[in-house]
Amino acid sequence: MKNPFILASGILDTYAETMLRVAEDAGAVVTKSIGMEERKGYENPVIFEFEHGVLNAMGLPNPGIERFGEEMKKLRGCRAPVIGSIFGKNEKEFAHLAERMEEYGAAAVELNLSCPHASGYGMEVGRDPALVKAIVRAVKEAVQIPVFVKLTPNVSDITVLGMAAEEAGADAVVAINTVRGLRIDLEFKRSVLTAGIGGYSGPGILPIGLRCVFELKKVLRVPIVGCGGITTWENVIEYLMAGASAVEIGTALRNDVRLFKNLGRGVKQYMKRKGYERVEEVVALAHQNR
Amino acid sequence: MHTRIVEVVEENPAVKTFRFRYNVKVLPGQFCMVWDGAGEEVPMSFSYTGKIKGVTVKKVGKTTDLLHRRKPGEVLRIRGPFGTHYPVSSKKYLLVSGGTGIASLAPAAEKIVGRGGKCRFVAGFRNASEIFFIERLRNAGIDVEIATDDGSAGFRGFVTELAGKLFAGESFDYIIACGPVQMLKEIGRRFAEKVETYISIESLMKCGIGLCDSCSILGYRVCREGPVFRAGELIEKGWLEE
Repeated sequence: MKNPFILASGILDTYAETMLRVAEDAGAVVTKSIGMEERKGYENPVIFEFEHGVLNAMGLPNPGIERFGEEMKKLRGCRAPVIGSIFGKNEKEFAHLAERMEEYGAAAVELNLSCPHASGYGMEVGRDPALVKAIVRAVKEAVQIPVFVKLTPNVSDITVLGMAAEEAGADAVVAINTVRGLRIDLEFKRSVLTAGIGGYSGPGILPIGLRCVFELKKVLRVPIVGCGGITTWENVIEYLMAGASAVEIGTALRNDVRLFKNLGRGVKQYMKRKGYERVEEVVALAHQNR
Repeated sequence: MHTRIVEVVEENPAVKTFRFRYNVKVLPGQFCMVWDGAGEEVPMSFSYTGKIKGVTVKKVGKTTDLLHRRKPGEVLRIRGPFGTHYPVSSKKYLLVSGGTGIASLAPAAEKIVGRGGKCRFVAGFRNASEIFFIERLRNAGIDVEIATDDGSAGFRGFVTELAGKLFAGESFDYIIACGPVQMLKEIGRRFAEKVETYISIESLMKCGIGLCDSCSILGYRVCREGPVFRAGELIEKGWLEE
C-alpha cells in the first residue's frame, strides 16, 4: 500500500469506473459487499443525512458474485490493491464467495460480518463469536489471499469478536462498521428509512470507532484497520494512535472524491512536525502515554 | 425539509405538476428527492425554480401513481437541490426536449430569456396528447416548435431531426437537451463537436448525495457531477459506444 487510506465498502464502489477514480489516491479500495445472488436492496428512502453524519439502510444491493466478475475484470489495471468485500449466510457461502474473489484477482477479502440492516446477514451472523470463528476458518482454508474481518460495534464487547477472528486465523480486523441507529420523521411519524433501523456513519461515530480500535489493540496481535467517522487528517492520526495500522473512509468522500490526497498531506505534515518518519511509529502511541 | 403542496396542475392525463414553497436557491437543471412519507422517495428535476418551486411527475408506476393522488395541503419532504445546473447566460441557445424532459428545460428557457439571451425551443413528444408546458414557454416569449413521432402535432419525426433543421439555418452558442438517453446520444453525435452541448442524464438514484454509486456512469456520479454534463466530456469517455 502506498498510503494508509482505504476506500470503505459500500461507498462509491458499485462500478469499476468509480472505484478506479477513487483508487487514484487510495492505498487500497474495498468493493461493495457482494453476495451469492443479486439483491436489489430496500426501496427509497435508503439514506438520511443530518448534521452529525448519515443514516443508511441500503439493504446490501449488489449484482451477485457471478456478475461482479465483470467489474473485477475492469479493475485489473487498478493502481491500488482491490479488496473484495463479501457477505453470506454461513461459512459455506463465505468460502465460495472468497474463492471467486480470489479468482477475480482480489488482493484480499473483507468479510462483512457487520452490516446492521439486512436480515440473516452481516451483524446477525457477525455478533456470534462461534460463527465468526467458523466462517473465518472456512475462508482461510478456501483462499491464499489475506482475510480481513469487518466487525460490528453493535455488541457489548467487540474484543470478543476480534479475538474470535484472530484465533481463527484472520490476517487483520477492520473496526467498525456502522452503528445501529434510528431517526424519526415528525410529519410522517415514522422512521426516515424504508427499512426502519439503519446504520449510522460519519463524524458522530468517530469516538465509538476510536474506542473500539483502542480496546481491540489491547488484546490483538493482528493489524487493525480503523474505520468510522473520519473526516479530517487529525481523525486519521487519532485512529493510528488508538492502534490502527491503516484506516478506511467512506461517508466523507461524498463531498470530496480526492479526500485521500488532502488527508495524506495533513498526516505527512504532522509526522514531519513531530519528527516521525514512518506511519508505524505513530501506531498505538495512545497506549504508551496513559 | 417538509413543505405543503400549494397547487396541483394536471398538465395532461399522465403528468401532474406539484407546486410548493421551498425557500432555497435552486438553479435550472438541479433536482431534488421527493418523498410523501408513504411511497418510495424519487428523484425529480425542478420544473419551477422561482419563489414557488415545482416538480412535474409522469405516472409510470406504483410510486408515481401514489404521488399523483397527493392534493394541495398535503405534505412532501424535499431533499436538495442536488447536482449540476444548465449554463444560463445572455447568449443564443437551442433547447431540445424529449417527453418529460421539457420539465427541467422550461425554467432554463425562462431564465435565459430573463437574462436577455435568445432561446429557440424544440419539444418532442410521442403524440399530441402528451404535449405540455408549451403555453407556459410561449407566454414567456419563447419560440417553441413541436415534433411528434406520429405527426399528430407539429413536425412528424424525431425532435433531433427538427433540431438539425434549425441548426442548419441558424447559429447557436449552446445546445442543451433533456430527454431519453437515445435522444441525448443522437444530440451528442450531431452537435457536440460543433457547438457547446450540454445534456441532462436520468439515472437510478438512491442516496442523491454522492455516496452510494447507484447512479454513476463512466465514473461520474450523476447526482453530484451531473445530472447536467457537457456532452463532449462523456463522449471522450466512450459514452456513445456504451
